[in-house]
Amino acid sequence: MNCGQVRKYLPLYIDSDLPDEKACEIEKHLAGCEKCRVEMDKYIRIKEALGGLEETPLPDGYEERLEKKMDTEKEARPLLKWITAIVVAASMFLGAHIADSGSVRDKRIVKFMPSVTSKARSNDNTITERSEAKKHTPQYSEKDKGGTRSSIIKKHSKRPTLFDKMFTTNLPDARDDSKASEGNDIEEQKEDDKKDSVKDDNNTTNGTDSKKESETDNVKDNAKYAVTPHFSLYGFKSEEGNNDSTMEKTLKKYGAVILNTSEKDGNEVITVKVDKDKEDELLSELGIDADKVDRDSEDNLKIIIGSDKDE
Amino acid sequence: MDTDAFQEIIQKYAGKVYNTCRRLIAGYDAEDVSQEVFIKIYKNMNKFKGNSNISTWIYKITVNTCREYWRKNSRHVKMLELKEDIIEQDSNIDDGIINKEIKKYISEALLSMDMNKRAVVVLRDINGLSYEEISKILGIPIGTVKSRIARGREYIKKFLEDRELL
Repeated sequence: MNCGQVRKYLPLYIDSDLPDEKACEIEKHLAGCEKCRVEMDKYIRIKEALGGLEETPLPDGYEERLEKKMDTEKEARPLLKWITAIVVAASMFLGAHIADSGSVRDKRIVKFMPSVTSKARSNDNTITERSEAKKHTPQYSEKDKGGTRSSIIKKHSKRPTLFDKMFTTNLPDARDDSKASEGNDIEEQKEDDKKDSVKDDNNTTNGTDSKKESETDNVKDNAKYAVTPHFSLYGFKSEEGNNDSTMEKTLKKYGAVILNTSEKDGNEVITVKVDKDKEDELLSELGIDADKVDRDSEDNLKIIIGSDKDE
Repeated sequence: MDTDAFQEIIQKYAGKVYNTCRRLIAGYDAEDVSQEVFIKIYKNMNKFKGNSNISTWIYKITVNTCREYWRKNSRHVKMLELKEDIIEQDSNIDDGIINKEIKKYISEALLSMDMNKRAVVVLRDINGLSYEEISKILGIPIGTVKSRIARGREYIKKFLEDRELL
C-alpha cells in the first residue's frame, strides 16, 4: 500500500472496523511512514475532541413547557379529527365529480381511437398517403392534437417522465379495441412512428428538440407505452404497479399542484406548489428525504427524484 | 397512549434528543425542535411496532425533524449569531487534554458541513452509536454510513488544517 491508499482508509482505520487483512497492511505501512502516522494522529485528535463535547443539561422548565405543548396538542386533536373528516368528505365528493367528468372525456377521446387502430393496421402505402397529406396541414391542427395524441407522446419522450405518467393516458377502452391484433399493431405502429418521425423532423416548429429526442427514442419502450395505461391521477389504475400512482395520490391528497417537471443531472425534478402548513406532512408521506428537496425563487418545492446529493 | 410509558421515554431520552438537536441545528431552537420530536413520538406511539429498538426509532424521528427544520430555516438563519451560543459553550469545556481552540472550531466545522455528513458524525462520534444503528436510523446502507463518516472526518481535518489548528 502506498501513502495515498493508506490515507484513504485512515478516517475509518481509527474506528478499528476495517477487515483484518486491510488493517494489517495499513499497520505495516504506518510502521515505516511518519507522515502517515501524523495524519492518523490528526484523525484521532478530531475523534477525541468530538467525543469530548459534553452534553448540555436540559434548560430550566423544559419539561413543564413540553407538558404545556402536549396539553395544547391534546386539545387540538378532537378539532383536527373533525377537520379531517370534513376534508375527506369533500375529497370524496370532488373525486366522484372528477371521475364522472373523466368518463365523459373518455367517451369523447374514444371516438378518435378507431382511427389510431386503423392507422396501425394500415399498410405502408396508406401510411405514406397520410403522411404526405400531413405535410400540407398545420402541424398542431385539431386532428393531430386528438387523433395522434398517443403517437405524439411516444415520439417525443425517450422515457416517460413522472409528468407524462400523470397527465397522459391510453384509455382502457381503446386498448381493448386493439387487443385482438395487439402484437401486430405494436410492430406496425413502430414502423408508422419511424416514418412519421422522419417526416415530422422536417416539419416541426421545434425541430431541434424533436430530432434530439427522436435520436434517443427507444422503440421498444415506445411500443410498451403505446399499449400500457400508466395513468392514475384520475382513478385509472397503473398496470405497471409502480409507485408513481401512490405519489400522485399523495400529491392530490395534499392539494399539491405540479408546476413543472424537468431533468437535471439525470434526476427528475418536480416543482410543486403546496400550502406551507401541508409541506411537512406531504414530504413525510412521500418519504422524500429533506436533502432531496429544494426551493425555487418563488418558494415552491423542488422535489428531486432518484438522487442522493451526498453520494 | 400510556402516560406513564411516555413519561418514562421523556425521562430517559429528553437529554439525548435535546443535545442531538443542539448539534444538528446549531443550538438554535433546539428546545422547540426537541419538544416537537416528543410530540411526534406521542402522536405516533401506536405506530411503533417494536420491529426496531425504541432508541433507533426516537433517533430517527429526531434526525428527520432536525433535517426538516434545517431545510426550512437554514437560509434565513444568521449563522454567525446562532453559532456563538453553542461554540462558546463548547470552548468553555476544558478537559485538559483537548485544546480549547480545536473544540471551538470543531463545533463550527460541524455546523458548516452538509446535513448528511453532520448527522453521521454526530451520531457516531458524539453520541457513540454503531455503524449498524446509524444505518437503521438514517435508512441507508452501512457502506454509505462509513463513507459519510470518512468524508465528515476528512472535512473537519481540512477545516482545522486551513486554520492551522492541526
